[in-house]
Amino acid sequence: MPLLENGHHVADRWTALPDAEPVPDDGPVLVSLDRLKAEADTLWTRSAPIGVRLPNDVPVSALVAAVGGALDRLSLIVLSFPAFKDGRAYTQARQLRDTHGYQGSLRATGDVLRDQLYFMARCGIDAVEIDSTDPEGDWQASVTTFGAVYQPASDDRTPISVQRLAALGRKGVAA
Amino acid sequence: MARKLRADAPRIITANRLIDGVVVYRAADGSWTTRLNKARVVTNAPDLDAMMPGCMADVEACQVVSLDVVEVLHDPKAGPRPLGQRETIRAAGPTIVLPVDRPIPAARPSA
Amino acid sequence: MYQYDAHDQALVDQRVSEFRDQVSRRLSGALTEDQFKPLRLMNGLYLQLHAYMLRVAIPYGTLSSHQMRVLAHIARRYDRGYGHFTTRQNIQYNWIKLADAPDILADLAAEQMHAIQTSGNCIRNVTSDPWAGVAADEIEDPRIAAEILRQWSTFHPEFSFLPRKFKIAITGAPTDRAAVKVHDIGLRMHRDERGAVGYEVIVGGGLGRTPIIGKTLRPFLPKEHLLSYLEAIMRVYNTHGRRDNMYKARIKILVEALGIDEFRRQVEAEWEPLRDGALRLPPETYAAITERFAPPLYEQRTGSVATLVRDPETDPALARWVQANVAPHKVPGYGIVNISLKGTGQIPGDATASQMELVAKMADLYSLGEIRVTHEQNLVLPHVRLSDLPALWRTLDAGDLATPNVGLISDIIACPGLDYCSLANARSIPLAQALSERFSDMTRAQAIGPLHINISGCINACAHHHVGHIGVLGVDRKGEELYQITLGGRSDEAAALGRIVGPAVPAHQAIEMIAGFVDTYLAIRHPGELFIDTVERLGTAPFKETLHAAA
Ligand code: SF4
Repeated sequence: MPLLENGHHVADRWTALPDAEPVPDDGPVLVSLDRLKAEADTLWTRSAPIGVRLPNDVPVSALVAAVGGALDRLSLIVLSFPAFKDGRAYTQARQLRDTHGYQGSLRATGDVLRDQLYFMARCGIDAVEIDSTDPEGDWQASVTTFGAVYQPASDDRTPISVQRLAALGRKGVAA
Repeated sequence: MARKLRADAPRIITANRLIDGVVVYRAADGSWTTRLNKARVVTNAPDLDAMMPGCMADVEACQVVSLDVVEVLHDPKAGPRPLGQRETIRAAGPTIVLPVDRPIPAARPSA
Repeated sequence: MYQYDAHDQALVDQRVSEFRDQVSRRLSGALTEDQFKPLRLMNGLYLQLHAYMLRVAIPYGTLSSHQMRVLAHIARRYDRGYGHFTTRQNIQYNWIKLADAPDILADLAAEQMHAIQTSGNCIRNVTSDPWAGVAADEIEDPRIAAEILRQWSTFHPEFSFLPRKFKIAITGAPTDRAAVKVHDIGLRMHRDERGAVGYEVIVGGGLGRTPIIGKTLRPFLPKEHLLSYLEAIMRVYNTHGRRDNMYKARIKILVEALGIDEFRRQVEAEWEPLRDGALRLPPETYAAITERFAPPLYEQRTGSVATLVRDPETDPALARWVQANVAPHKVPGYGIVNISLKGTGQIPGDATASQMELVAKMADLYSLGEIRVTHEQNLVLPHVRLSDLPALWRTLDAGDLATPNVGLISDIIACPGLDYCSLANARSIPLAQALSERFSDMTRAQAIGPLHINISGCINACAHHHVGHIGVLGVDRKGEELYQITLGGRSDEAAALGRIVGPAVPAHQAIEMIAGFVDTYLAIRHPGELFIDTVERLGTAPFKETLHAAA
């Protein structure tokens, strides 16, 4: 399935590792949360990046605990949308970004619809696997749907309320 | 709704037209008709199954949505009639007199 | 009232383009019905029995006369000349074509309206006191907070795919006219000991299959924390609300399962990192929105509704209408005029395009251009000079809009039911019409006094039957439409759920039962005692006796 990173269609450099398979010495690998917990010591000794799949019914705090509070040891967290109606991972994304300051890549997988990319991007998701013939076009169309936002989220857009106050302030100075 | 159907009960296939939501019924010639009494009635599972691919194709082709199989009262001469309040209303429209938009007369002059 | 600025306008315009594109992708087959359904629902578009139904948002029930004219235009141009005002202060059109929906949304957007989040598993249109800003008993205009909530919840990226729909109501007055205890979140304004205004946060109320009265999560939340605290509640709900069973997916089920104390603990834990973050509402933000709800310029006048009613010079028919339909305004010399959409034999909440236009015209002439929609499915002209009442009344009367029954037995709340709704078990409208004929004697209705009958066509309870003084629920027993009656429900500050009396019966028997209950009440009430108070004092037992006597 096509992978988009920051809106660009890219080849997936990550190896998604089933739990039974041995961990290769190098190259970025994506493991399950259980494996991360079980084999933390060996995994962290690798020099290549580690990513983890976070099921949408596991609290973000469990992942934080599994990495000893240091989320930045992870380069990728893969979120799951088992059905497009199941929006739990939006909250996980925001908790990872805002509450825990996670800086690495956040990838959405599963039943991802084009019309949801806007919401995902605003929750700090920067990568998606999406079934589409024009993934870049879809991303571009969706994330630019609305020119302004009402509420703060996990992107860097300035909410309308703040823009309004700033405009008032400028008027005040001019007057 | 999804009531359990007797195997030999007379049945028809119904749906709503995608573009405007109008109730339609599958006719014998494979078209969709808005008139229940023009619907094709089947009384056995093989006949029903045989109708399905064509109906599903029309769902795929964005002609209709909400495909459903419903039981009907079947009078071979007059054609099928709806069974139950829901299907009666689907076939004939609301049972109430709909509001009519009439111009409003000016108020009577003050006494 | 609130007017869009360029930001608000741009967003609704962009929404129209987005939906136009989605509809064309659906019609071309690029979207399947499964994929399209949540998108159309987020624009208020349902597929009902005979056509699409479009639900248009009327935020906190406030409308301008211009907006009302657009609603009339849509009824005429795209529907069959009428619309239905709902218990959530919205309007629904019953005969919409999917292909027309984008044009309708464009027409709405041109007059600062939309259908955003009037359906779907997201935060719905925030409802409020229909008398907001004019009620004599109000602490603060609740529409300020409602508008802040509208903006926060609109296209909220985290909360657009919740386990289930989410309804918020807010009241600024001690008398609760917004039914805040039967919403997912209810907000009730209070003053603390220093006089500062804040909110009591009530959570987990709701009707439907599992009716529950909401519980107080926080007795006093300072204004500045409104959004961060609500975001924390939503976050707990989005994470832990059930998704395996749609009948158990509302927040009330989660709150019941966890217990209010554990739920509170989780909310507070989520809130901690949010409370002093970007969602904090500085006083300037409140001030900026408050300005947009600045009260109109009233004239210096005197007099009250009561003196007018008592004046022997007043036409008795006018006096009766004033007594039933006009409420005290906070400014002397003005009244709040309630327009009943419950004329004898009428469909509750329905108004024709011409009636909408008449109301718009009356608003321009007599109510500073403003109109409200109530959750009782009526309309309100909020700023009427008492001296204008006679002229207004005569004109409304000519348009069949002066039925003097607001809050009385024939002011029946009813959902569309099986005549339109694809989820219905039984019809609601014909029963409401029959009851309104039965109780068409307005003198008797006034003698009976305030009494709410609520009729829902299925357990979804769109007409709030659980909190009707007399509640009626349509059920389907082997294809027969039957009605189950409850007594003693109420949705005000003393909110309570009605109790079932007797078996479910066919419509004609339901009417006789209700008539019998009313007779019983008249026979046993204390002088001046309201129906609901009699039921509370004596329980349902004396009413059950009525049933036995009738059997
Ligand atoms: S209560 Fe039931 S029948 Fe009535 S409008 Fe709601 S869903 Fe439809």
